[in-house]
Amino acid sequence: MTTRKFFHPKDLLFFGALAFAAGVLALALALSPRGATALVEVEGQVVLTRELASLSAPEEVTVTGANGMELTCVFSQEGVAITASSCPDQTCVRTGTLTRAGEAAICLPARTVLRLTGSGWADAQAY
Amino acid sequence: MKVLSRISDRAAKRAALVLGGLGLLLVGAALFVTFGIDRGAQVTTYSMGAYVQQTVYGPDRDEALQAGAAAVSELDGLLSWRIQGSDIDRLNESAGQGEITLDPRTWQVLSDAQAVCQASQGAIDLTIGPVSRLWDFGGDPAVPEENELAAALERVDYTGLLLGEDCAAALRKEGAVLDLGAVGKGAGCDAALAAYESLDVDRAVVAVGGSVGVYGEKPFGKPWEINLRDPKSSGSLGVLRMKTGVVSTSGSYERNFTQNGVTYHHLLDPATGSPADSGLVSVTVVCENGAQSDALATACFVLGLERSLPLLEEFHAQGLFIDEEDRITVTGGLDFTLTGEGYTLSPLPD
Repeated sequence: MTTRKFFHPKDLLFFGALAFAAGVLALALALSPRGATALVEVEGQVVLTRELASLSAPEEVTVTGANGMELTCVFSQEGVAITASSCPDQTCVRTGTLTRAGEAAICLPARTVLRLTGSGWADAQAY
Repeated sequence: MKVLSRISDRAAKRAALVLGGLGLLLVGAALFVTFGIDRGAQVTTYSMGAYVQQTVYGPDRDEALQAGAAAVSELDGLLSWRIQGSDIDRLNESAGQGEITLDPRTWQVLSDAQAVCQASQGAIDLTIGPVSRLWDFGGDPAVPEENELAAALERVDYTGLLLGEDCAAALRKEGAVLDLGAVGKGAGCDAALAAYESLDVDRAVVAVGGSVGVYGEKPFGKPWEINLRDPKSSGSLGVLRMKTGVVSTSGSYERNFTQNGVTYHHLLDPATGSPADSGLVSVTVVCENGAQSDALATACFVLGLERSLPLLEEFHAQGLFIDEEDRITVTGGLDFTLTGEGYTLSPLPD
């Protein structure tokens, strides 16, 4: 009676190479830089997120902050910005377009923050 | 395949085992990177009229976030002259009448900041209150009348703030008013960092407005990387690397208004009662003590680059100066990489 092996040793070599390739790919993906993500926080709670790389066209969103203030946020692959706000000092609008992870536009009257996170960002921003 | 036919079955099995084992190890590493690495917990709160953001790593991170936020909020309640019954409000109300007892936290902030007032010979003055209230940068700013400014300046004198034992404090002159706006955010960082010490926190970073404090060591001994804002644009000026301490910035771009075509910024020179005119646009200071980093940033802005250097040395602090010609000067102990455009790095003056 002949014994038939399920896998030939050289088939095992193929599967071993496949497992190695899968491991390399998995680790490469885990370590790969993540794209920039824009977050809008109102009173410390995240109310909106956008992955910038997934935007096919600029998107404009109106966010209601604290004290009933309204802010207009524009998200695009090039960056994000608060383009209009009903707050009295307009500091958030004057911040301009955020283009690097770690940057933030802050509206204190509305207790709202628009910030960019992602790979390569600094631990904090001083200003 | 000719190559495969040259490999024996035994060698193929061994190679398969090795490759398969390596593959499993790599997948395990990928899972660890994705799920196993502590990414920290984060919270944003508001205190001292500013955005407070904490990122904490370690077993007690959630408790530390709450403790840090509470510490900053409590300190605001002690230091804000706008809050009735705060330590600073009580001290202001008692000006010219004798001493009162402060909370130890208030007393320590005053002591730390007063050291900078004294060393800078009044380039920063905690008793600037009468003048800063006239300018009202936090509300409806306007240029004060000359006679009003002169009268307010009579009440500004840092030597009139007396700090005694057992948290005693007094303002010698009647009408003296403390305003800790120049040191509060740095002190807020101190408060949060102190809150982490009694908890099981591996490392943390806290931002109170534009002041940033760091705690503990990053993996592999890497320094913390702090992005500095470009005064001219919404972008980044560069990255500051630090392993310990608090970084604070005083910049003329932070608060200003224009009246009759002239722009007035909020960094007042206590000697004149008017915005400082030292040729600088921004000063960033790194110091172990947050209240002092904040106070030094203001004092150095008023003093200008050359007169600031001995002051920084006295407090073992490091500084970065940006002048009106877009030149950046960095003290020797500061690790900074310039990425902003339109600036040049200048050597320290002789």
